[in-house]
Amino acid sequence: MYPTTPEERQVYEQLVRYFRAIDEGDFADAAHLMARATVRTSEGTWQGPSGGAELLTRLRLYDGRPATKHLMSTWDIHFEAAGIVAKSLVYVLVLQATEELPLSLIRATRYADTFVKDENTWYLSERDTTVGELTGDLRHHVSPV
Amino acid sequence: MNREEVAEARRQVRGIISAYFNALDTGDMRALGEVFRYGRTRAQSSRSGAQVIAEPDEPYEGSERIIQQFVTHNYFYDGTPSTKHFTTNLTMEIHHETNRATSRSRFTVVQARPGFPLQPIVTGRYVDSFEWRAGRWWLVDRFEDCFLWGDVRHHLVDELRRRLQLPEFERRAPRAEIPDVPDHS
Repeated sequence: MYPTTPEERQVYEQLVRYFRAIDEGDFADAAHLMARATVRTSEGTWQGPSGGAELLTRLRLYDGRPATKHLMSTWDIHFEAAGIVAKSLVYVLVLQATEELPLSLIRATRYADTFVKDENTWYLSERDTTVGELTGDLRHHVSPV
Repeated sequence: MNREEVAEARRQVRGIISAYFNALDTGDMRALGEVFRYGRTRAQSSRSGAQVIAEPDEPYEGSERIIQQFVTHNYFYDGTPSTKHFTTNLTMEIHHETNRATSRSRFTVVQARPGFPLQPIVTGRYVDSFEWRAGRWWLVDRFEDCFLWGDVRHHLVDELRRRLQLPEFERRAPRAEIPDVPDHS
């Protein structure tokens, strides 16, 4: 919310695009967005294209989609290292409904992300969702390890 | 104020709002105190956002008093309230002439505890005022109107729930660990 410059907008759109990809079951795009990232979650650390793909294969699908909606809260960003590193912070509320689960809140997560500028594009470099995550009934969302 | 200064005002206001809910949800009382260094808070409780059921408190002013208010009113579990304050629908007005800014937003607090599934516990709205002081923007006043109440037994202490005229609940939340109040001397 409130990208005030083109740079901010580029990073913001990466976030929106990622959550859209997850909700739509477009895992090729989601994995692409994580291709250069180290992702720390409460369940472990995933790295690079194979790590991203592995993380996504654990999601349960219903007609090809996770049956989720990821809602983003007010977003904050600031730039470091002469403007080529961006620290982004947003809360995400995940809703899910399946035949077995009435529409429910299943996760409330703080995404602390680092994006890096490479030539003219921004890519996700680090993601940490471990701080204070609140979870509901995740049985219909994530397969057990 | 030129165009870039207005953009900077928007960035800082956004940053302060974000700093507030991050500090609160992680139980970082020092960071919370910093948000309110020149600030005060006023809260009221209403029904459906219309009929006021508890008048605004006396305002709480300054870091120490505001930290004390949170520590006194909220339950903490291993140092955090086990909540996420989702702040949404943010709008801002930057007032060039007076070096002041106003923002309005909605909040939805979600909480999960063992035996208490993830759920929204209260929603409401914030009206915030900001001032340019000593080279940056500061929150100087936060008005909080709480309406659409859920089950806040695990978030607000009994005394406050009674004062806000919230329904009494049979089961009492356990009084849990409180984080240390930082020394601002």
